[in-house]
Amino acid sequence: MTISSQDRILKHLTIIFREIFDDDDIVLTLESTADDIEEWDSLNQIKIILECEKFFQVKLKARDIRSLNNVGEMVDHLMRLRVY
Amino acid sequence: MSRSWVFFIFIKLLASLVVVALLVEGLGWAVRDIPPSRHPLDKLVFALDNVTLNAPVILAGDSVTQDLVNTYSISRDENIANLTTNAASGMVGLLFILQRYLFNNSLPKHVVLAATPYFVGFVPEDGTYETYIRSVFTRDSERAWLREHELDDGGASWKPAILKLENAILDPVVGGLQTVPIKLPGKGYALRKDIAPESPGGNAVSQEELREYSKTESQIGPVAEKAIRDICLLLAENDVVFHLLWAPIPKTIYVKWQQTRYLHRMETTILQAGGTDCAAIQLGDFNSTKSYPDHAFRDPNHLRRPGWVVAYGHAMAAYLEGLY
Amino acid sequence: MLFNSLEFLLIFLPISLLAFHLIRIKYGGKWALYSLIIFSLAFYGWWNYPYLLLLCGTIIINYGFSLLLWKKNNFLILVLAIGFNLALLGYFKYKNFFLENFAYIFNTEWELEPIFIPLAISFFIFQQIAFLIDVQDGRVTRRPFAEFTLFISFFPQLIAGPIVLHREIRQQFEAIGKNEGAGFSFLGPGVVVFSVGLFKKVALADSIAPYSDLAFAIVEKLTLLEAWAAAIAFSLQLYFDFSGYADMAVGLGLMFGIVLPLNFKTPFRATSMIDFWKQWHITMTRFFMMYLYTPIALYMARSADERGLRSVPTFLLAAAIPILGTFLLSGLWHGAAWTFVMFGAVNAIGLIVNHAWKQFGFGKLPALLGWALTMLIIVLSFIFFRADSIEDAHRLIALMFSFGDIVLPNWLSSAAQSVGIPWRTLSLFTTGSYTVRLVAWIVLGVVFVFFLPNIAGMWKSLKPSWRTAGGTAIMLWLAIGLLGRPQNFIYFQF
Repeated sequence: MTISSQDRILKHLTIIFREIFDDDDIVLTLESTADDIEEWDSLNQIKIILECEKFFQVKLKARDIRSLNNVGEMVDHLMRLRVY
Repeated sequence: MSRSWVFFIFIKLLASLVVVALLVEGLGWAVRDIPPSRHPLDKLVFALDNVTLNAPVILAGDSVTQDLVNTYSISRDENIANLTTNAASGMVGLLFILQRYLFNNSLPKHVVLAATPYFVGFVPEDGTYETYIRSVFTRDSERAWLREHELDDGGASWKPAILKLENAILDPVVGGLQTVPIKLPGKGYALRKDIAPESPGGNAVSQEELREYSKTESQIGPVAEKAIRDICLLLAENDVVFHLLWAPIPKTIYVKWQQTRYLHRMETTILQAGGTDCAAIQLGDFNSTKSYPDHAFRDPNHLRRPGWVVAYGHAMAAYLEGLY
Repeated sequence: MLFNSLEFLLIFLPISLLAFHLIRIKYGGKWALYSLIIFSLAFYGWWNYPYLLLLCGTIIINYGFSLLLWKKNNFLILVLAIGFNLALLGYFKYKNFFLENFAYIFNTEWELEPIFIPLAISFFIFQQIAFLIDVQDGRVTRRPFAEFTLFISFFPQLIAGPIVLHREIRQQFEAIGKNEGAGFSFLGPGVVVFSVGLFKKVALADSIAPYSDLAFAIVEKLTLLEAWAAAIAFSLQLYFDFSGYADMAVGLGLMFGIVLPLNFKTPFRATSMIDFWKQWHITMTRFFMMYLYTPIALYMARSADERGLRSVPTFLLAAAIPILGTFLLSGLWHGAAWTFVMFGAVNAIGLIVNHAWKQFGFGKLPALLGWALTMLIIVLSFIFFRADSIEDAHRLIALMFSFGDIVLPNWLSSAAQSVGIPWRTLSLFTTGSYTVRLVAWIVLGVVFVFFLPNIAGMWKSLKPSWRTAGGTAIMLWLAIGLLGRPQNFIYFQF
């Protein structure tokens, strides 16, 4: 069974979140929002974005990410940038 | 909309609105006769209807004097009936209070009113009128007087209890909890001789406030005049001597009012208020025998405690001494 | 027109609701939406019809800018458009503020005419700015003029927010237009949510208002305990005032079958500053986060990263400065005075400390302590929000911490004398009964803060039960009974 790019992105995002929040128990789904993860605030949002840029080797613009409401939208956006 | 929500709006909500209103109305009806006890005037009126005093001297006035008499005993208890109020009920309130007192008690020899000029001319309006006159003095004769002098418009529009919760429910309930004990204030501290009046500074009133206050020279309007006239009539009918004295006034203001002849004009209006009966008023002035400097006051009207209030107390006690 | 007025409750709302739904059923959703535009403009014009021209003017001009952007997506056009909007806002709201400060710097005096700020200008200008940015982002395709007009003027959210993003409402409008909207289905919950909001505003906020108004008018005469009472009372007043209006907005939207974004959760239960600002004035925070904070913070974070800065300078550059800048501006958005800027500053400092605490790993505080610290900072910031001047605010805060100067009121004189504490006649705690009532309102407010659920946020799970009906009935009666008093809607001047 091949893993879809969506799943791969989600898996790597989870690694990034766990690293930035220093919490190995974080589980991300496509519906996860800032309300679900207590540590996810505006500051950490920036860190996540920078980390994503480094990891996925893309440039994320403020306009694109300013209103990503949940993890699913982040995954969609990354898929659009054809990271995988 | 789902059926249950339709049912909610047109049946449950509507029914709840009606039921709640009816329940409150019922509660309001149940407590309607309990006299409210919202402020000292309510308590005074309630006490008047239930306690006999038979004192030879009635002392009335606004909060300047009330501050004194509610805290200190300026004479033996049986000598003075403390009918002081705050300024809000004015001379109209005083008229009703005197009527009620005379109804229940033996005739006094003297009624001494020690007040500020503001009190003598003040007639409350709107909310103040409602709280300090209309909802306090509810007897037919009092209502009739108020209607006659156009303070009351007769039938107050009926409002269901739920729309005037504070008046219909809260006040009587609180009143019911507070009507004991029934007594008039006045059993206070003895007037000591060793308290020094306060010096300048501390909580003394600022010159700025005095300046603002000195600009106001309130007048005696037609309704207040009628009230004064009726008080004079009432007292004259019963052979009671009516004394009216100006309570202590800050020196700066007192001097100004003397220069502008304001106090003199007020006195003239009072004396002429009701034909001949008011001409017999014994006028006096606490400021003529003793000067009350600006720093004796904590605001343009009220004396600082305890020193200056006690000083006023000594002056008052001396004045009343000869009257018992 | 205000939501908490008889003319709205008994005349405008029933008529507009009836008309909207009847037209929707008989002539279709599209016509119903057109009627909603008329009602919304009438609602705004009722207050002061000349400013209706202003509202319509901004709608027309901003739609014009949008057309330009849809044709040629040029960043410069966006800059021009935002500049125009801010200039308008600056003129109508901040002119005197600028002139006063200009005069102060250059030591001159100026005759200032009194300003008459158009109702809700901060809200509808910002909502249009957000729209323009979204257009330039490519997030909004070309929409009809009527839809844009309704989006900006829709009366439930026109006066005091929420600041709605186009994407939140576009599908709902489209659905209604195709007769596939929610119709009546949310009317019931809408009535309940609206009643709760009305109750909060009229029965709670407006009842506390006279006490805090008096206190803030006589700041120099207050004592330690009175100062605390004043600060807490005003904080409660502001909370119920604004969350009440936010609830009413949601409730009204629901009555028309439209779901507006939530603007309030339960901020006074927050256990940290970060948590607080996720729950208070959510859409405004969102606006500033999205359009101001994120771009700046991202840029700063990148530069810090590129320069290989260590964690503390990175934090200062990428977090502290953007937060400070954002909150100073959002403070200023609330009002044209330095006190509002200070309000922003105090919150910024609280947030920066909170973030630093998290960032540098100082461990999590127990909930109660976190709550107490958060509320302390919030209450202090609210003092600046309300005070007539910065001096007054400083005076009040100083009083709150002058622990050596306890003075008891004259009606506790005997108790005071027995314990050896000075007493005198106080200016706020003037009589026993006044003080008891003030304290009772504070206690009642705190009880409601903790036990009144966030109905606007959980409207979907409301049940049409007798209990809901009873609670709604009581709240409605209390609100209607207290409606006649003079009002003072704080967020009104925005």
